[in-house]
Amino acid sequence: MSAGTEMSDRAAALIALADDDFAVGHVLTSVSGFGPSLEINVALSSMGQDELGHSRAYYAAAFDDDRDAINRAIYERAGSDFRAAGISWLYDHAWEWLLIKSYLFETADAHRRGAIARGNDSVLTEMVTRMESEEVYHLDFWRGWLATTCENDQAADHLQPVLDVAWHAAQELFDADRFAALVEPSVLSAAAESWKEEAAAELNQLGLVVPDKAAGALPTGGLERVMDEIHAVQPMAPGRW
Amino acid sequence: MTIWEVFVQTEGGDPFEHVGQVEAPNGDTATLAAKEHFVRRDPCVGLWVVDREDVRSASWPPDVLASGHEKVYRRSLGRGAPDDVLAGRL
Amino acid sequence: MDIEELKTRVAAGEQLEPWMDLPEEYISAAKRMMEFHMTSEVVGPVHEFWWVPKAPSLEAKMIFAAKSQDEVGHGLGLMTVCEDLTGRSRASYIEEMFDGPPRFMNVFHYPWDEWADPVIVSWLIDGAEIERQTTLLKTSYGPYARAMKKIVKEEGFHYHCGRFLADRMVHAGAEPKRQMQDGLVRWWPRILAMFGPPDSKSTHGETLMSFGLKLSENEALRQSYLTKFVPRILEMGLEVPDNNLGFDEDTQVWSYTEPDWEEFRGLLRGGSPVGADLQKALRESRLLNNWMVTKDAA
Repeated sequence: MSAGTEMSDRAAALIALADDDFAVGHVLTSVSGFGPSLEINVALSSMGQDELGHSRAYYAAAFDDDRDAINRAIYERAGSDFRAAGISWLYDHAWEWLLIKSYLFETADAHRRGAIARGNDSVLTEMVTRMESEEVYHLDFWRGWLATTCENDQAADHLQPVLDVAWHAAQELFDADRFAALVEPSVLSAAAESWKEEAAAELNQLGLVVPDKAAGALPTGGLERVMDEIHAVQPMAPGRW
Repeated sequence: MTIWEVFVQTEGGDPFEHVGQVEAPNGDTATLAAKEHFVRRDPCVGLWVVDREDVRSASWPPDVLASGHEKVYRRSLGRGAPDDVLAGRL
Repeated sequence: MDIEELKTRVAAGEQLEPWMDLPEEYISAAKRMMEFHMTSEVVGPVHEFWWVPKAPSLEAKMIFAAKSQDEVGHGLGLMTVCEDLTGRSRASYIEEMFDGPPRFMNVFHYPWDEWADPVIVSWLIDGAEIERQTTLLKTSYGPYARAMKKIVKEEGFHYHCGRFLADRMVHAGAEPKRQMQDGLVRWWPRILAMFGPPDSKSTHGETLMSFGLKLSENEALRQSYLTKFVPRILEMGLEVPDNNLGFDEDTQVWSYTEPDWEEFRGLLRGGSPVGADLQKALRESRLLNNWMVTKDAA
């Protein structure tokens, strides 16, 4: 796609998927220096790199594999032009935030990808299928650590308040308008319902309660922080990277 | 916290090889840690984690452990060696 | 086992294991050497993770994240070896790191304020470590040698990562190239110092050599580094900022500006520009997540 042409709806939807994975990947690769243990830190970085790789695949599909266009899309767009869900930008290395965000994101994204893979777009289906071998690990990691963390009797004190604001925010991942070009709204909303049912059951089993309504807004500042970081070097060292 | 010894099988048919250890509260999190720490780059078809407490180490010193090593009568002499040479070595 | 017997066995190429009856002097020397290496690999990533978010392209970001992740893994691998030798728990090692005076490589004591800093460190310092770390594959302490296998495999990638980033930077434009040159001026003395004083000035170094823990003399490593890296720096279109640098064809020896060994030693005695910041970052991430530590954790 060259500058000046109108972006197709399909490209815009792919970019929305890419932006979600970029946001999640940026946060994970950044906080992996400051997580709870060396073992966890190593895994956080792997998963962050995976998500960045997935974002690159989606951007490449939107921009016909044009490397420069991909980097411009990431490094030259204003924060407000990104189409990631609010929860994707949550940027906090405290375990309760990282754990709940990642659990919700990964489980929701799995259902979302499933809905996309069932569509008519064979290129997209193949792309999403190739991501599975990495995503299986991500799901196992966050579900395994959620269960392990919840064995600690202080867990609910830390995790419940986060869930209270994050649960509803996660539903933006299934925004029908944003992804209409890739998946039928009814299919996407069915995926959202399956996700909610499964995740709620799992959380309840671990002693956490899915809130009826959001206890408050998600903390802000994540998007701004990511933008500040990715824009840090260019003004210092302008040029083609 | 538990220490887990990690064993990796690179390809089908290979022995499981001890590669080191990770620290984790349980077997699931130990496996999650071991995969990313030890097999990020390499081919792998099998991964074991074993609670260090479950590894039983023989306490014999090296000379006892290797006492079979010197037993000539268990050795093959190679092709062409006459049979009575084997008995002669005892 | 007494020290003389140990030296004989080590000289014959034997590698030692923790369940052998090792003399106190050897354990103490091995511990000091490995803890220094381990601490370097745990604090070094703090610098790197301040820069991973700022990598200026998606490729640079992924490559630099992978490289930084490896360093965390190196810290983990060495940590387990130290724990087994000393019997100390992970928790006690981590806590010591943010309380005690930090003992780690000189290069991590300096601030990384510009993008040129992580680029130069990855290219020229990780590159410097490859040779030394390769010699450690034959170190006399078995668990250390085994842990080094994975580390050495990964260091090669780090050098290539650094070279990729350096190449990008010198070709990104006039300003980035100038910043690389300025960065070299900052880092050159620290790189030369990194190998340590010539062994004739270090009794500690002699002990480590006689125990087979250390396998190369500091000066030999520095000379080998200059032979490999001076041409590479020139090929990158940069100048080596050292008026005393020269190679004597007759003696086959490089001359260079002698590092300030007082400053070098001073880093470990409270003269560290960023030691406190690094400790603060490690302490904060540990305390933030203290509640996660399960009841039976040491």
